[in-house]
Amino acid sequence: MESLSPRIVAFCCDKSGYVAADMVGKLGMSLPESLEVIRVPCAGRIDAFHMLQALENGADGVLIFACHEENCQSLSGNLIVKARMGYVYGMMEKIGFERERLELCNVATNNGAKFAEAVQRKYDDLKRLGPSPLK
Amino acid sequence: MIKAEQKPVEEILDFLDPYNKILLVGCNACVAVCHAGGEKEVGLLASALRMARKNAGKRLEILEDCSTRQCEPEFVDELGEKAGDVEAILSIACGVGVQTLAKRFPEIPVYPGVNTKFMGETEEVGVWAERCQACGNCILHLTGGICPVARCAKQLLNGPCGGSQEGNCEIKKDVPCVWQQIYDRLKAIGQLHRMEQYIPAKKWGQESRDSGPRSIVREDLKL
Amino acid sequence: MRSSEDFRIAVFVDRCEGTLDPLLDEEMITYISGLPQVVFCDQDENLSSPQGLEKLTSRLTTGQADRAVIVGGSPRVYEQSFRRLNLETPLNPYMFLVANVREQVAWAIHDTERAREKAKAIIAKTIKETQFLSPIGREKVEIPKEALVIGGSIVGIRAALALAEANIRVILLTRAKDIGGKAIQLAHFYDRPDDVSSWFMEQVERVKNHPKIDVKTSAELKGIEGYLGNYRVTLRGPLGKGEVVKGSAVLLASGYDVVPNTEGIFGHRCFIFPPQMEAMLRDGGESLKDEKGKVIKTVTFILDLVNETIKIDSANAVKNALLLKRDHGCMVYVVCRDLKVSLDGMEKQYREAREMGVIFIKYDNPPRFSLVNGQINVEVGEVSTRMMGEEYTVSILSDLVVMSEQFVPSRDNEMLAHLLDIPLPQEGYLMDDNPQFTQVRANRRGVFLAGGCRYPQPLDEALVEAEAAASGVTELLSRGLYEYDLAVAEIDPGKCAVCLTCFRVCPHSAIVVEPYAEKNIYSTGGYEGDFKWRAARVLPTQCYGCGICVSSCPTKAITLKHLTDAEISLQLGA
Repeated sequence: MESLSPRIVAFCCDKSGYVAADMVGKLGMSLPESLEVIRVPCAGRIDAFHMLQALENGADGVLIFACHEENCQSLSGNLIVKARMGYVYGMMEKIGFERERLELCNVATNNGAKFAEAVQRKYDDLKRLGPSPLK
Repeated sequence: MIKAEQKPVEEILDFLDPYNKILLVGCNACVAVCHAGGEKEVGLLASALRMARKNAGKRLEILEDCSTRQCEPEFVDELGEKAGDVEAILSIACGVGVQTLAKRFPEIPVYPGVNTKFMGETEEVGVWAERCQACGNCILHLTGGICPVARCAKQLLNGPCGGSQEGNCEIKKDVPCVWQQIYDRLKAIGQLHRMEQYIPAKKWGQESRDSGPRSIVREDLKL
Repeated sequence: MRSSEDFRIAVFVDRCEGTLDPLLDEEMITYISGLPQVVFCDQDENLSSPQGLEKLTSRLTTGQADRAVIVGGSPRVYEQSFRRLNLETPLNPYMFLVANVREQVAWAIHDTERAREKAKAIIAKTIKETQFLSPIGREKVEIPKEALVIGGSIVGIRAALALAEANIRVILLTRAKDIGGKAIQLAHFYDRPDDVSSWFMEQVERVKNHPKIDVKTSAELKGIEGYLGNYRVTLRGPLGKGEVVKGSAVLLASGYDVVPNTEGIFGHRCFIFPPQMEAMLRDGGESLKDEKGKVIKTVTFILDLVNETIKIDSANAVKNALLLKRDHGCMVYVVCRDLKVSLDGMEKQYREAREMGVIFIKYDNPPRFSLVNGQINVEVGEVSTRMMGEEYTVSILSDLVVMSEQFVPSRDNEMLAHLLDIPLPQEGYLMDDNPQFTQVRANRRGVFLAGGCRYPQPLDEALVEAEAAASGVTELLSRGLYEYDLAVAEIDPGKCAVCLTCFRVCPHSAIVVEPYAEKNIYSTGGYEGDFKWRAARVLPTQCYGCGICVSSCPTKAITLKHLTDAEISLQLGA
């Protein structure tokens, strides 16, 4: 049976995304229960392989939350992960995955609302798009 | 060092179509340095291939491994056990690695996952450029250390052709004319007189690949 | 799962003072206690309180468990509590994982049943993830209490003094023949009556005479290498044999350069630049006279043709306008795009200046200059009259027109950035780690920046930065010991292809390539004795644990001790 609740894996950098994710709860906003948050010290820790691995293990969509450009505390971790995403998009297209299933979202520690909205938007998009082609 | 580039994944999927269980093996030497076939790439490619095949309704089981250096028989031997179990091997090492595997596993089909492009240098991070063609008789002493065999589109040995415009090769605007570079370099090192010294045609038949595969034998090193 | 190992997992449930009550009911506790390899499940009303943590510590002393999971709020809360209380638990602090069921679950999933299911899934996964944990040690290195200050400007001088006062030996290097820099050009402080020259001389004397400060003039840098506790600067010397000076930390105070802005003006004695204005105010008698002995009655300051984003010119203009008006009876005009008075006490001085009759004129189009009867006519379109539908052009006949010197990055910045391997952004000033939080730190541990080399700033702010940077150095060096967790990246030299990717990509210059590997992928061996292969190595004191090198390594030779790929894979469900 298809999952009606799109599974979203969100890689969250400890300097921005993860704190924003924590803030969602504090603001009383909501997150879908099918969201899985993975905490990393910097978005640059995330390799192309992790993005594919997420999809391979059943994620319908992958979000990467990184610091705003020019604000990365490791200088260019957010740019590095963006470049890797470019490579993954190319691969995704060839192996049958829609581009919308992977997205980068730049946030700061106080962007709790933005985090919740980005997740909700992706959730709705994925519901329209349907489950991962692997399912 | 040898530089290679991954083959388009659709081409690889095409080779692997008849198989259901393969060994994907990389190499941690040259191809790792240019990020085409190291251990990291093995994981990436394996994941992509599995997903592509699953999406196409035909599963593919992939055993993953990575040789320390795939052109060395001892390292390739280490794959013995895993290889015994599979229908085919996909290697993302350079052409040498693929052939070493083919030699070691005569009964198992071996497929190349990368295109071995050239011997080249790192121009900047992420950009590699062709520098050497293994012509077999190096003439870099005559051209100020810049190779016209590898870097001239026509492999001219005695100066630029008429198509050299403002330091660029006529085949593509962003490709520098190597003879312009050689001229500038010889001038800078005070060896401009070499431009007047005629370099005869290379003995392609004797020194280069042209009359068959070459080998180097060092009797003093043979065990 | 490594089934051959027998893990013993302790679970500590933080009830968060009742806020997680509906979620953490008996059924949940029973569920948790029943998960594989859990040896006990304790609860506490407030785990991150001193009492809660004390209880946790004593529970772990029994040795029943070899790893632990905290079920409660965000991991950031517990990490901070552990650190704040300097907690020494019987278990290595890296043998803990936190299952965040509060901020991102209980508070964010409003359907309690769904929240409960989610919490269970997270807890089960976190418990499973503990199999990949390994203890991470704490390292202590002795670091000598000595620092290098590069740059003999007043910022370098002040920093050196602050360090020396904190009992740190300082070697102050300057390219010039003597220390001092541009501060000597200032005649007056804007916020106190002292005379800059005598104050300045006093600072210079103190540095030269201080027993803990060693000043090296005419010192040219050839190379800088090392890490916190062991930085080595090689100076250029005769016959290529330069002296090597050492320090545990490096403080850059190399200043900025100036270029007089001569755009739109012509050679005439009435055009002067700020240093000449300062000199006139310092040395002039009651009535100021120009070169030819003519009395100066009208002075016009021209601001914002250059240095638009820097407040130094504004501050000096207001300061000097007041002096000119009050002490020399001049008529003063300040022509600018915008007046920048965001300095302590400067707003007040601005108001004072206006009340005293200094005229401030704002423009959009740059003023034009012409010579009229030995005076400079400054013609400028006054912006505030534009509301009336016309641009009103003002003509100011001036005896003295004070232009600006454009502040530009020091010509040494490129060399310094290159030698120190720190980034040099397009603008050309040395980059700080984070302008809000770590303004005086470069992003390489042990390297600090202060003053004009980071950004041109007024003297007072630059001095504060000097003290801040010195304070940063003192913080690291004062105990003579540097303690840090080995929660860093580590490279397996035998797998290293020496591709230099990690070396190039590390944002903190924490990776070096050295001969220390026993084996190498390019060789089948046969080397004798002490021969070691070159391979990349992470300097543990310098590593910030970001993991960028780990994900970049093509041979997967690098591991991040506190977040391995195995842990990420498990979290992804692999």
